[in-house]
Amino acid sequence: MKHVKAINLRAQALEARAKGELPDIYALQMQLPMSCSTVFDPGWEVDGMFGLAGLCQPMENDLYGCSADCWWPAQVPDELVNYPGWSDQCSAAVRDWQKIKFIQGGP
Amino acid sequence: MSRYQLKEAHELVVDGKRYLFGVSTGAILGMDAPAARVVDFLKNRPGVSVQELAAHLESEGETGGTQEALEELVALEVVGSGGAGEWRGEGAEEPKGKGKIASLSACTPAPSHPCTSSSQPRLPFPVRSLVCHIARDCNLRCAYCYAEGGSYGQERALMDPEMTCRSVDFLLRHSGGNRRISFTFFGGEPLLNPQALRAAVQYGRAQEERWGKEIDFSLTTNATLLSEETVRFLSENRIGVTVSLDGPAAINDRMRTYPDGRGSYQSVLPQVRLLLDHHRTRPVAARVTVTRGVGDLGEIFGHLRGLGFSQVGFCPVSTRDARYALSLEDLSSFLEQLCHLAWRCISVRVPEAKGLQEPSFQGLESLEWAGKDLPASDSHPTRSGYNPEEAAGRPLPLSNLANLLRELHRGERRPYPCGAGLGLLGVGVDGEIYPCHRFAGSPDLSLGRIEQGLDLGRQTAFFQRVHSTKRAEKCLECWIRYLCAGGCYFESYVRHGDPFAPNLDYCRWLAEWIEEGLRLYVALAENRPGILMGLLED
Ligand code: SF4
Ligand code: SF4
Repeated sequence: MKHVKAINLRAQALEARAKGELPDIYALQMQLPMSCSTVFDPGWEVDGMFGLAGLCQPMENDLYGCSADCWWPAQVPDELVNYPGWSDQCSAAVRDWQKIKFIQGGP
Repeated sequence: MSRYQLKEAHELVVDGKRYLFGVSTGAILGMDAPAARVVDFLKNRPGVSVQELAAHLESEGETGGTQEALEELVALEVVGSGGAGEWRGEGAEEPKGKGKIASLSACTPAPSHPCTSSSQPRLPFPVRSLVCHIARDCNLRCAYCYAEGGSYGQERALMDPEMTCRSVDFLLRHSGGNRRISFTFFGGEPLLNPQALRAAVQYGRAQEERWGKEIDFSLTTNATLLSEETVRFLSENRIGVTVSLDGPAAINDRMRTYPDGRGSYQSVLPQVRLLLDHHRTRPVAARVTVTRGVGDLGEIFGHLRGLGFSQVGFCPVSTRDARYALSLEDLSSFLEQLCHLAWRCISVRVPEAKGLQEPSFQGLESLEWAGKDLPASDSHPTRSGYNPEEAAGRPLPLSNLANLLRELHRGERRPYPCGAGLGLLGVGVDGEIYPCHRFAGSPDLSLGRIEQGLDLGRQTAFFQRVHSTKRAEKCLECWIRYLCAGGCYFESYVRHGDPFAPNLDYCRWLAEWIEEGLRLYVALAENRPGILMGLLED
């Protein structure tokens, strides 16, 4: 890229994806749990009241985790191929989730 | 017609150049002038069309590269776009925090939530690390010890070697697809129970092949009981060792004492030498507990490195006891010294960086800090002419920095603060399983027993509470939330009596430390990527 430089692995993976190259899946994924500072991608979630208010990281991570980085056929439109701007208006899912677009019909 | 808006990002300036850290992507990006102009225009504007952008930049006499820069920013998820037909601006709501833009409101009604699944992580979850208390006892009585003299407030006891082997078995059985798993001997002082240590290692090594797994054994010790024979055993079995030692005698002996009040330094020294001289298969690390008054981190670091420890890590004490806990000034001094040490570690490796202006802090005015952006300063000019040979392949001796750089490099995003209760579990001497080692002796947080296995109901309940309470309003707005995720459960437990309370005490501290790490990372990545790669190696 000419104007924006991808500095770390994650940025390079995003760049590879933008160029249509196969991104380094490891760099895009959540890292596996390890030792005292483990990470974990729990899947699509709601909070104890079946809402979103009680969530912070998981909801947002999953939402984008499912749609963008490692697309898998969940209830989330895939950003990788069919719906690139799907979640653009929703930078904080907990707060802005109403602003996520509807997807009608198939791609 | 698409409308564009900025996504959440944290901005920094290094060597006069502008960079962005994507809050939810973890991507670190450098911007040239056209890209920075686009970002600046999009700030505080909720949804801008290309035409508006172009018109603005033209009126400023800037045109080159705008469209291209915009496309790149979109591709790298700094800027989001939406079709104008589907969106209606809601007026320029005041953005919260730098780089964050008030969002648009969609014409579409709020969708009913499609999800009916539970809020729990999918259980059972494969275990990766088991931290096992083989001794609920210690021969030292360090003043600050959270385990109350190694006993965790309970009767002193050693783990039955058979139970230790069962714990190894538990790990093998519950590790799912993980091929590399780790088993840590912990205490108290684990070397009070050498039988259990030997039995578990022998058992584990014998089982590895059958399970097709590799067990990484490690030990955290005060080193007082190390003998030649033990060191040989540790080396032969590739057991990683971390020694708890706070520095030279004058510093170490203030806190790390025998029950009769004698300092431990003098009696530990020969054992430490023995260990450092004869443990050949793994690097040996020192772990320093930082307490009230902080002391001179540089002196401590230099001393421990001088002894031959390959890595030194600093950790603030976990206590509410005002005699030992870090005050606000202490935290400020700790941060300042740690940052200086970080820069020193880099500049030693990269000699031309020596003249580098070191980080300067105004001090922390408040402990609680909700992640508001800090002014981006430009105190670290480019260093050129490094000698790549100097550095390649040698890991950083400051573990706090090594860990942070590695996280930033990968762009880590973590939904939970740590693996406690999922990939990481602790086991008490009696075989009781806890979310992590530090919770041993808190029966209300038990997650089952080694013999019976994990109690999924309790594990589920643990995460129900994590989800319903751990995430504070403050975290939602915080730019480091994907690196912190609310902080250590045990710290919250000690400080607030509730492991699920968000740990807001260190927010400001953590954000400044991460900011400093970002600066270092960017400076290295831009100037000497080869050296950076060498530093990131384990
Ligand atoms: S606890 Fe962590 S994520 Fe939450 S506001 Fe503080 S620093 Fe940010
Ligand atoms: S709760 Fe704290 S001590 Fe326990 S594993 Fe998590 S970060 Fe480590």
